Amino acid sequence: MPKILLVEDNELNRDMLSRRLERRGFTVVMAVDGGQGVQMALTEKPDLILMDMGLPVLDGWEATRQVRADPATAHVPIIALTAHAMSSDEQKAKEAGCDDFDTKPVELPRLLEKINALLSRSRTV
Amino acid sequence: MSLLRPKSIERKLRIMIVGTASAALVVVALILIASEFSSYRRELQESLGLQAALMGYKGEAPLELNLSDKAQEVIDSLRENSEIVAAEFYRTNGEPFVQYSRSGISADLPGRVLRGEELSPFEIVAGITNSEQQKVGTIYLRTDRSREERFLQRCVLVVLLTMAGAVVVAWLLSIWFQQIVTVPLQHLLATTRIVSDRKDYSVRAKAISGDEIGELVTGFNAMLEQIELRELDLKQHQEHLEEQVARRTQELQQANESLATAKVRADAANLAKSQFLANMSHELRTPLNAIIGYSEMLQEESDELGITAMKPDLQKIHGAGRHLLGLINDVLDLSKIEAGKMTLHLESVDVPTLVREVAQTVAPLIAKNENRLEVDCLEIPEGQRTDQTKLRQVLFNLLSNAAKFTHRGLIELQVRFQNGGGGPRLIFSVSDTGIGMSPEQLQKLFQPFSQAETDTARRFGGTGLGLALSRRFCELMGGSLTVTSELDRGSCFTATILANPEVSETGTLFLPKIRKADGELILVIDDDPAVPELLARSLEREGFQVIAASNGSQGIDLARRLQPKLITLDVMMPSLDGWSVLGTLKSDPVTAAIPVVMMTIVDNRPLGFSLGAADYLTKPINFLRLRETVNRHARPLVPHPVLVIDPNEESRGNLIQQLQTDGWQAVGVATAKEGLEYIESHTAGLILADLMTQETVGLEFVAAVRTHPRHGRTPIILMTETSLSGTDRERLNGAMTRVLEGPSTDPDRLLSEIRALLPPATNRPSFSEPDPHEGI
Repeated sequence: MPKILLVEDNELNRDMLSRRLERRGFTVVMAVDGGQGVQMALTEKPDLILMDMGLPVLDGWEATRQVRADPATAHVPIIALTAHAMSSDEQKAKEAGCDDFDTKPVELPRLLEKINALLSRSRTV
Repeated sequence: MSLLRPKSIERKLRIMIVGTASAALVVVALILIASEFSSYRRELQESLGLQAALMGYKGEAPLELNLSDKAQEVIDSLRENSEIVAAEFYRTNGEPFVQYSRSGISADLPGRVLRGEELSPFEIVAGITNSEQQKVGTIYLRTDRSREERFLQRCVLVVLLTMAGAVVVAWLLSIWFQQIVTVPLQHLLATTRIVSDRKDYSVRAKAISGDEIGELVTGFNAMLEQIELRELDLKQHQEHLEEQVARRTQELQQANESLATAKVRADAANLAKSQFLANMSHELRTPLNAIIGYSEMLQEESDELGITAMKPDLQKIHGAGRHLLGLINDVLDLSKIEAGKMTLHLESVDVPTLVREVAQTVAPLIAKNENRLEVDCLEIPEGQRTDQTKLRQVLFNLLSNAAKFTHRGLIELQVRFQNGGGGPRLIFSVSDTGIGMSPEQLQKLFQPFSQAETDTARRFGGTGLGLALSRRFCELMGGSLTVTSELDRGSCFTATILANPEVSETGTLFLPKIRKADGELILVIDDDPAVPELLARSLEREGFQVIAASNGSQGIDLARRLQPKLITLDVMMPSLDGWSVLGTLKSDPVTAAIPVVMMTIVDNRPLGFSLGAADYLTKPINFLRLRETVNRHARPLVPHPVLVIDPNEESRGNLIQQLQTDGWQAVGVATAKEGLEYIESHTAGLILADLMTQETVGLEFVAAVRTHPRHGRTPIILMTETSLSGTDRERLNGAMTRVLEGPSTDPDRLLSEIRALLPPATNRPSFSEPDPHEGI
């Protein structure tokens, strides 16, 4: 089963998304801030990272940069989650190294589509 | 004559009185003297006659008896009488008998009788008769003449003395008499002097007598009273007027002050509101996410567990949450726009694809009211750059509105590409055959939170934010959103946006081909399309960029958004005339500083200037005058040079050249220290500093300039190659300081920043002054 690292500081969002993903068969590990996220990307070796952008300690953009900078984690696909559908946020996330982008509140079918697309791509790579 | 023309009426009266009295007195005196004289003469004759009779009596006997001794004795007795100076007895035959004379000369009476001489009043001749009445001789007597002379002298003396006394008395009396006339006159005169000298109409002359002068005084007083009343009336009127003016002025001042205060407060409150909304909607979204997410999860779980009874309620929670989220997003967008934080993100968009996608998204809504959608999207060049999220939102909003308010009707979406003045544009029009709107409803249409009717929300749903937001989005994209509608016939919304606009790194829109370095923007507001074309031909040769507005409201809108260097304004336009447009432009702080040149057939300069027009041109247009006028008002003359601080000699030179090309004066130095030295002795209009390779130097430099007495408010633009920390940015991003980040700075962006920072007042020719440091 694919392992997803969910980096999210809001407890409700974390609980909600993790439960919904687990119900669809994913293994979900969770980090509550950017620093922990970078750490767990290294230790947990997830297949994909869902990264909230407004994080404490280290924000999502910086965390993404660090994940990308480390050769051990550079290949892991990252989907950025932002609070509002601002195109500039999408642009910024992509510049920071994210593979895709989605807005909160999460529309699960759409997010699943994006997750599956990235997972199948990394499998073929 | 001078005596008869004396100065005062007083003297005239005195002379008249004294003169009259003296004349009367002279006549009386002459009559008296004459009468006295004649009685004196009579007495003299009588006295002589008596003397002669006496002598005749005494001399009768000696004459008859011819006794000459005796006769001599008689006649000699006259010596004792001092008055008789000569006496003589004559015989009847006329021979002298005896004689007496003090002078010793004979009277020679017979000789004189023979010669026919008459006797003088001092002489007498009388016959002497005896007792038988026979004539015995004649006597001659003569008296002294000097006695009469003495009498006359005495008379004259008395008359003269009397006259002198009378004149004195008359003079004294005249003093008293003349007062009767002159005192009231002098009083009247004094009163008139007071009136004429002091303009005091409250004094009154006293009517001392009831005669003509009294009447004159009464009349004069009546006249004064009339004048005084009128004066008082006038004064009151004047005071009232002044009072009124003062009161009005004060009221106006108070109103202005309170307006200014209210405006500042309102602006501050508006900004606070926008910030609050932005923060609030962000905070609101987090719990909302949970509501939406958990309700969705519960739906999924109830599906899996086969509990269908709960599902409709869960769907309602989910739907309400989504709706609330939509509202919050709209409010956030709106507040971002109002706070000036909404930016554009441009990307290459295939417009037909985007339109198709929107049509698909909106299809369920179209179908709901059994409507039909026709899309006409032809000949749109590929690779248009625009903000597709916002464009999508606008189109979705317009189409969903059309679907909402139309039943079993036709909805058309027409997309056109137009390459006209002001750059290429995309025009999207959405028309429907729905319920339409009345003019009153149209007026409120684009205001946030207002729907056409208060019950619209209840009947059709929606927040009333969609159109307001769509319009703001269109404006943000350099265009507009307009509407035409007819009640019960349908509506047509037209969204115009700039295609391929230029956007700064921060997402602020640059309007293409308008803010070019060498093309100051001239806005031509004229309903005649030939006019902007003619003007453009003439002005573009001068390096101006001309854009046109075909009516007043479009002109006002463009002036606000494009901030042209100058506006030419036609007076005679349908619907909104030039004067109203001028008034609106001048009363809006955003456009008030833009010079407006009135263009008209009707020359009404005073009205134009009183409304704030910068200049006046009459039609038909004299192109020489046009170019001269436009150049004068639109070409900025910067009073002080732009100071460029850049350690790199090459980039410094480039910057200076760019600035000069754009019409600014510029001077360059290499270090912050030199920069501070420069502003110590010169005045810089703006400072452009590339010091961020040494970050602290830049920050210190800004602080030093801010404490300088002359440069406390001089705009500073800092260019930096690295990103600043939040606190540094906060310190720098105060008033009149801009920070441009990034390794290379777009010259257009730089010039735009400079234009934005230099206050419009310094661009006015009237503020320009020769700069002695030019070319340093």
